[in-house]
Amino acid sequence: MGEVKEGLEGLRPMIDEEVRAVALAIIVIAGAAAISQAIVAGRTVEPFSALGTLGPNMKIGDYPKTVLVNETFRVYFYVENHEGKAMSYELRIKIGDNGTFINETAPADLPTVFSYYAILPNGANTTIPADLSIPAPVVNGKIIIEMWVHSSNGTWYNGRWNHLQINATLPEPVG
Amino acid sequence: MNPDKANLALAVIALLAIAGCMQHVDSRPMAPSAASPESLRAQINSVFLLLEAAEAKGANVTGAALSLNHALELVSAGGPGELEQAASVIQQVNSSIPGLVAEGESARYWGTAGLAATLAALGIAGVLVFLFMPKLVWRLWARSKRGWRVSAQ
Repeated sequence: MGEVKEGLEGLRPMIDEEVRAVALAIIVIAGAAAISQAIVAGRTVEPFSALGTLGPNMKIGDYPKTVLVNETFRVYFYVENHEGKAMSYELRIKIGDNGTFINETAPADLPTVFSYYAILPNGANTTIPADLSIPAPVVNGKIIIEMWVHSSNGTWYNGRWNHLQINATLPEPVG
Repeated sequence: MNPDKANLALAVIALLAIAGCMQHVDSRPMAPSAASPESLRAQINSVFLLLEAAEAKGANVTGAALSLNHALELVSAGGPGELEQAASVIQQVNSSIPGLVAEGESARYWGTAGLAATLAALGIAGVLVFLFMPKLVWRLWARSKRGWRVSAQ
């Protein structure tokens, strides 16, 4: 009996250490998870802005293909801010053609014919109605919508753009 | 000229100059009267820059930014009533910025204090678990086995 008791007492410290280790592991994992959540909560991991163009019925794909010169037609611009901070956007509308060069770093080298503005807090979006017109006949033309940003660092092109393929024709002479 | 009269003239000129300066200072806040769309857009832009700085200091500018966007929509609408309303919205947002900054700084302070308190509580909980958990676990284990009878043959 005395030997059994000694044996059990000899095991006890080892089991206690195991329990302690498991309890500590749980505490460390739960603590790390809680702290990381507290630190990263509300942060934007991958900031971006979204730009979309909708047709007159506020749908993708019902864009006008051919319009008359100086005829006003309506489209909508959808802007969404996920930059992690409030943003002031300017949408610059330019009229070019198939030869107009534009990419994520270089805006089109054309004059701005219309500008639309939006100020959005992080996570917000807006749809801006726009009445556009084309002042001269054009075949295989492009209405280019560039997203520019105003901030304390200045005004810059943020690399987002849309374009609509469009033709503009002169009205038929009467008679 | 009589020296007294000269002094009086100088004093009047000085008063007029001071009054002129005060009028200049008073005219700086944006008046809610109708202004051109271009000047209103410029005002919106300058208020947005203030808002941006406030956000960097921890202010929650969601409502103010949406108000400025509403002001932009009013400016785009372009009617005299809308322009006047836009000027009023801009002025409201501009005057709300100091309060937003104060709230943001307070929220940031309490956020940091909360994080520190959480870390301290976790540390204390770790120590307490390390010290008392094994005893508690074995006590519970022993209590659950209280009804057992062990016989040796």
